[in-house]
Amino acid sequence: MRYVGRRLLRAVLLLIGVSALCFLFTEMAPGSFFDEMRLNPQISPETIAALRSRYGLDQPIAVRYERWIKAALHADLGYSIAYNTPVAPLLWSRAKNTLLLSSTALLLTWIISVPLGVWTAEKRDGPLDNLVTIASSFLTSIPELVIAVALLAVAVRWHFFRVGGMTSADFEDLSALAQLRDVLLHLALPTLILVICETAVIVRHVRASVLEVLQAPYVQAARGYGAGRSRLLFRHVLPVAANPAISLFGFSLAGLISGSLVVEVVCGWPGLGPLILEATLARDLYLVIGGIMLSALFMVGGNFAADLLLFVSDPRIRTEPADAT
Amino acid sequence: MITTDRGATESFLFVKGLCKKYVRGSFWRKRVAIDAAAGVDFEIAAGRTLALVGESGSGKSTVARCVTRLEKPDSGQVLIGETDIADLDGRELAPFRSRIQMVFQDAVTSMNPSFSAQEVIEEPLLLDSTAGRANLTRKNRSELAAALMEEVKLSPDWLRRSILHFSGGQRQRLALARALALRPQLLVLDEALSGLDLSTQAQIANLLLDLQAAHGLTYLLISHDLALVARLADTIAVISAGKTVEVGPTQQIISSPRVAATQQLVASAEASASNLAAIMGTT
Repeated sequence: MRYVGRRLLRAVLLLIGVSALCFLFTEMAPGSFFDEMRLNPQISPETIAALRSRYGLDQPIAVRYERWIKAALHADLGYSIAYNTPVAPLLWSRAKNTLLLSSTALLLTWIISVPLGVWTAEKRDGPLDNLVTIASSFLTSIPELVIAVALLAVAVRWHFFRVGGMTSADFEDLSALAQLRDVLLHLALPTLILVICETAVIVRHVRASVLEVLQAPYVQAARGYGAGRSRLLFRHVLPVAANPAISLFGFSLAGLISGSLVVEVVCGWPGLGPLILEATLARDLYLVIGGIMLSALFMVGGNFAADLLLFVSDPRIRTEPADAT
Repeated sequence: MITTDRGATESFLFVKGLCKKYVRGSFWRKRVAIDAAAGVDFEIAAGRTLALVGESGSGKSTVARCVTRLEKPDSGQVLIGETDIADLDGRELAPFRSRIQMVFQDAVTSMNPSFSAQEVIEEPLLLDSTAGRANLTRKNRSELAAALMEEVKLSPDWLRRSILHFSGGQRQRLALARALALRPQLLVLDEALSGLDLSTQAQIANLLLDLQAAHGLTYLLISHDLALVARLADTIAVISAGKTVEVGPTQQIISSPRVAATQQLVASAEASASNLAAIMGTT
């Protein structure tokens, strides 16, 4: 319980730190939402001052931060100036789409990566291992943005997938089954991009950790007393090799909100990506902070989940050092 | 190269012309062949101890892995009785697995870190179909594990402890208990005492002698520590660059080394004479 308590306290402190830095950096950033208004001769300086006062932007940063923290504790993340609506419902409406995309990609990525990583480790230096190593090295060396644009170009050229948005224009007229099919067809391309980029990374980590355990003396000892291939794998190798994979899975959970932002922008997926990009360009202060905090919340939550999973799966974390006798 | 013919006494293990080559490299890197063992010959009589000594990288551990069939030799013979286990695979090899057990150098990494002492000892029993012990009841397995703990001078009350709670010396005793669970005839001790402090090393050496006397065990002791070898081995085989260069009774090899490799090992042992005295002093 002390371990869980420590991790929980660290998570809360981290969130407080991220929120403070968010406020500090947005304050330090040049320009504000009202700068473009100032160029408009039809809007008087008094009106702009009134608007700043209405949104509380005339207050010192410490006062604004204190108010925001108090409101955030009640799930109120402030007010979007650009959208003229509370930030929390706006973020949630887009976060649902982001979560649909990123969790589908996460599921497929891990379903592919774990068996592939284990298989290539077992068949080290074989044709499949060489092929996967070359492919993953190639893909990890290319920026996600380039892969996204390349696949988007292919999809548009040969009409492999529905491109742009989450639904077709005639979505409302479709039957329920056809609506589901339409969403899945729109989901396919951004999911494929994310799966390709993430699988290339995760399969290498899984392979490396399985390879390390396969060479451990205790696995050799188990072979020596007659443990067969499947017993070695499921009883000895995978439970221990799972540790780095669990940490990585925590990062994957952490990236559920932030991991797909670039792909969303490129593919026009109506998630948080385009929303946060627009908010940043418009200097929509509380929307940017809300987006970052939601991402940070998943980051902290994902790492916390990984810590708990490691605590459950690895006795070394639960155990004090060995007796010195 | 030393040539060995089966001696007049009945040998339990007879190794002749053992060769093993490792190929390192992959699609990315140039493939390089390394001759880890390039003609190793020795034999061990039943109930006796042969020490395979040599400098680091001489191929001792490769020989150990080939004898225990964790590796398949490229050529040569590994005879257990009349059977050459170098050529066996899969099911044919299974009956010999329990007859030959290995104790590794690093007791910490030679056990599954998620296991308790009981799981460490019982795991081989669950797999030992050849002696019918895979069908033992949980209670019988537990009793057997407790008896083995006592035999290696560990308290049976510690059976449920995680292995992480055991010290290095205790874990090496536990490794011996695991090996003994299968009632082996040959124990391959691959630098099994090197990571321990002198006092613990002496205690484990005594335990090995007791177990040998009690069970008629045959030991293949892999070591570069001549002081320890002098304490435990009846015969020494010196290995250099993957080949056996000298074989003979322990006292003869230590007092009158004939080849340069053996002379260097003896000189090193003399340089650490205090170590030798500490080990011999426990007799």
